[in-house]
Amino acid sequence: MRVFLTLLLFLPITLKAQFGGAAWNGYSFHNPNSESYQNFFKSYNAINSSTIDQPFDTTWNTMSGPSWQLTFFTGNDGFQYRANSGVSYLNATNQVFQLNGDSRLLRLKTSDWNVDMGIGYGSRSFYFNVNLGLNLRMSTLYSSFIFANGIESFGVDHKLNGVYTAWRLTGLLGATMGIGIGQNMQLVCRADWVPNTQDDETYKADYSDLTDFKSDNSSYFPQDMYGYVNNQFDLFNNVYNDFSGMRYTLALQFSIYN
Amino acid sequence: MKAQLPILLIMFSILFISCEKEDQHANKLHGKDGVWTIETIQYVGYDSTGNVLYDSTVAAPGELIFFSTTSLNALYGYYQGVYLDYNSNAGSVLEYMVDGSRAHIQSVDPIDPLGLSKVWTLTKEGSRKQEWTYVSFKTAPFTLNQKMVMHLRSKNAF
Repeated sequence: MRVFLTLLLFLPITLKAQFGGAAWNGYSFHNPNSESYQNFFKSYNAINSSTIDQPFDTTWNTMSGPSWQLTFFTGNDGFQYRANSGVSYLNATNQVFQLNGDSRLLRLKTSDWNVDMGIGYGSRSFYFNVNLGLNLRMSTLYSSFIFANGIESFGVDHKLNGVYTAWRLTGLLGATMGIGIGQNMQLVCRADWVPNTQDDETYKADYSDLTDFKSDNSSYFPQDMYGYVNNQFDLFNNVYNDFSGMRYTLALQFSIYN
Repeated sequence: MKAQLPILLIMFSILFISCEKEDQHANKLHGKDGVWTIETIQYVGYDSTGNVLYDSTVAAPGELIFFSTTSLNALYGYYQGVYLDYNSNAGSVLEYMVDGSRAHIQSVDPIDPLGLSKVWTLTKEGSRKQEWTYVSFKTAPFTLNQKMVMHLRSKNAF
């Protein structure tokens, strides 16, 4: 796999065609759909309905964050092949408030690493590519309890407190369009579909907090709070990386050479 | 190309700086000489309605020495450390783990005069100053019981 990805990235150079390189710095937005997280938000709101003032949103809000990408390409006029490798850091939050002023804050931080190839049309002032590749999603969920007086705790005072991590390799399908706005500079729009391939698998990319001090409590973040109350160690009741949805990036691209 | 080199260098510097390295939080503690003075520990107790029952502060009780040597619990990211108590002039061996949100001190010796063996929340995490907070919770009626706030300062900062 590693050899394949390396070849994919440097294919334009090995083709000995007219080739170029570019790098971008942009900002990404992602509207993910995650059934396992929705189950958690809904069941948490339901089981605590009598004490909640402001419930969790039942989905994550739009994730957003900075994005970088490195591109090698062949052809400046006509058929174009691109090999892309980049990363987007995406963050989202969701918070529930209780009637007494206490709250639980969930922060999701995700690094999306993509390696993909693009095929399409390109010139010095405009290009359009269809992209196909791989997306490695590394996620960390920070779950903390905030007391009414403002003290935040990640400690063992509440069972759901923790820093839970998960990763997932999926496919990626998208399109990129670039418009020249100056010498060796382009405004780039990219849209990618990141699919969920988890539901077909028995073993999911669960969110785990494998620390020494959580042995009395589950090291996994639960999906269904009713099931968690009955048996917190049920390994089939965990939130996992079942995200799917569109990811949009707007960026400024600089030519390194062409 | 030459004109864009600074932009590219800035772009990729930001990228690499923002990549979180696994041990960077522990490095903050055991980097340099790894000696941190406990400037103060504040103990605040609350009643069931949230009123303060007591609020006391212990000043300069001792220092923590964080080593870069992993402990037997290295699988979970634990390193070795020592607490040196100024009053008794005695040391006690401990293990520690830190991940940017939490720090877990686990006393290896039975002596733990300050009650450091806890899962602390990092409320401030700097390379010179840190603030660690611990809270305990009453199981009924589910209110805050006690808060401890420990201020640490790297000896290199003096």
